[in-house]
Amino acid sequence: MKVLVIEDELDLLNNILDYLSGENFVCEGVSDYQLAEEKIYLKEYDCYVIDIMLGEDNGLKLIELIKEEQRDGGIIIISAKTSLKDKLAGLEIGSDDYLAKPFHLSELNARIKAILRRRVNKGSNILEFNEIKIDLAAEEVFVDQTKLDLTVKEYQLLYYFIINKNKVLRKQSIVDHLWPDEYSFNSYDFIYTHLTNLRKKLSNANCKDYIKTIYGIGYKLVDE
Amino acid sequence: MKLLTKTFRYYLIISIPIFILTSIGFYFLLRYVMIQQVDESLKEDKAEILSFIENDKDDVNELYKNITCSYYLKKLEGNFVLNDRYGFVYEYDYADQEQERYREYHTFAIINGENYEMVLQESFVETDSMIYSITGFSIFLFGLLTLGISFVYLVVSRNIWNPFYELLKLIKMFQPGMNIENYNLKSDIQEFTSLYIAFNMMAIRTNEDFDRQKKFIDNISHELQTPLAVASTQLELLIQKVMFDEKSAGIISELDSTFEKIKNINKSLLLLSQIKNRQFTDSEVIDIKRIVNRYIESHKEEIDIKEISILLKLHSTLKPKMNFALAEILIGNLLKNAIIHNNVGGEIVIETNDSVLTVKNSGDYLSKDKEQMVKNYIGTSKNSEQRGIGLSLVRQICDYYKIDFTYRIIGKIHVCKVKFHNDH
Repeated sequence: MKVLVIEDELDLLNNILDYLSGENFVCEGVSDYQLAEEKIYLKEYDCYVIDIMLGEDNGLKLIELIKEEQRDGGIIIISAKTSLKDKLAGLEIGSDDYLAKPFHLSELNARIKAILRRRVNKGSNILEFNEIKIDLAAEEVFVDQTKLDLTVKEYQLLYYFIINKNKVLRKQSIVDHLWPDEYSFNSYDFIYTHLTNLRKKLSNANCKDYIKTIYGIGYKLVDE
Repeated sequence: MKLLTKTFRYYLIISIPIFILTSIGFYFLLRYVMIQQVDESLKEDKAEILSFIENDKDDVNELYKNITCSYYLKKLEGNFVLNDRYGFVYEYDYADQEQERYREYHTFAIINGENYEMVLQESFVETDSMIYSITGFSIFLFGLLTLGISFVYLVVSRNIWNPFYELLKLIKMFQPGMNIENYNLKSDIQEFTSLYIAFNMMAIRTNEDFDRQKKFIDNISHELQTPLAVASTQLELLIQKVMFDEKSAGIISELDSTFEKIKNINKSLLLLSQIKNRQFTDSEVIDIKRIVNRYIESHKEEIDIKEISILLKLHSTLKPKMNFALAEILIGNLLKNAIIHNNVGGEIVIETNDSVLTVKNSGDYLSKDKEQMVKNYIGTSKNSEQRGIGLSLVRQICDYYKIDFTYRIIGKIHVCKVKFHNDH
């Protein structure tokens, strides 16, 4: 699986590439329009992450180019513009997702993987991690063959961990994933409660405890 | 009071009394003159009659040609003199079969050495009707004059003033950023044109300032996004690569929350700028009840975790007109606070009536925390310019829509009242 990241702020681009380097897809990055054009012409990618504010709205032109060249990879727009209007406009011109800056790298990771999964086995909607199996279509979780009774937030939490396995997830990025439109929702207490309940349900199903607490910072799902 | 109304009122206050007094005066004057005229005629008739008698003329027709009155003489017994007396009498007229008014001249004459009482009468009917017609006609003229001037005031003046009122409407409507180049003032009145030119220049200046400010805030906010994104992603990478001991983890954690604070301030700044730049002008009728219910639905888990019981007293009558996204942010924030700043097993009461949304929640706080919380919620300064960017979103949205927002703590209950104007 190949992912192309187009971002003109070099530091940010490097951070993105660094974070995604451990994943099971290949990530390339370009920071100027010329190079981006070349890449789009020469290769086919499964996912394009485009900063729409590249230079002066050249990001839009790149999207048009992708459509013209009939690349059917998914498109994620990253943008400093956060209004609803901009989001809708972005989706209208053909992007599949829209992520506002500043975002968490773990969230970008989750969005990229969601797009890639859709492209892989166009039927497969199973996410597996050791003994945990998530049926994404039915939104059900199984440990070995036992179905777990998870609440919506517990499900989303588990999903987020598995998608970002072996990465330290900051509490804030978990909050922003579970409650995307909340302004200053600074209560980490709920995270703690949801996590505790999740862990309990997992252990009741004889699942190993993969979720480690990183003191003061966040949590990490570790593959042992 | 409107200008035309006031000037017209003054005009009426002066002209109507003048009109009435003039009409009355005119009537009496005319009457007096007419009476004088008739009395003079009666006097002359007396002279004619006496001359006729003294000259012993035979042909009474000659006399009747020269006089207009009727008369009779009555011999007076004794040697007394009568004074001249004028007056009005009523006589029955056989021809017209009614009482008619006559002017009567009672006088005294000596004829052939003997004293006679002489009474001359002249019909005053025609004179009366002449007085009435002339007076009536002059009242009509005065009335016409008054009406004419009133017409000028009310209709013609209105037309003359129309461009002014149009201009006034434009000025009232004007918002910074509004383009008024296409407006044309149709008037040749110097004062109006000067006013229009002055307003136009002011509008241009205002628009330029507004644009500059808008770009400035937009730019700052967007400029901040990028270094923020870079810095917070650096931190995110750092925590992947390094195992921190307790102390360092504490520092990292504080660094993290500082970034979050900056992000939030920037978000608020951006939203404030968007609100002020009227990027939220789409207004619709908001069903408060639905938004409240939706929020509670989507946060059921957290509400259940805290074992909070919610009492809803929502009437469907609260339907203010505002931007939907802002309405959601406003209500979302109120309810979020009611959930977060609440005890386990606590209570929330949400009520609406015609114009007010009330959110009450229980909350156990030490007084120090309470103060801090109120400060965080409302802001520390009364003057909105001084509060700067640290405003809560609720306050910003309420200011924009002139919504009345109060937050009180009564005992252990937090009461938040949001008063909408139903006529946006």
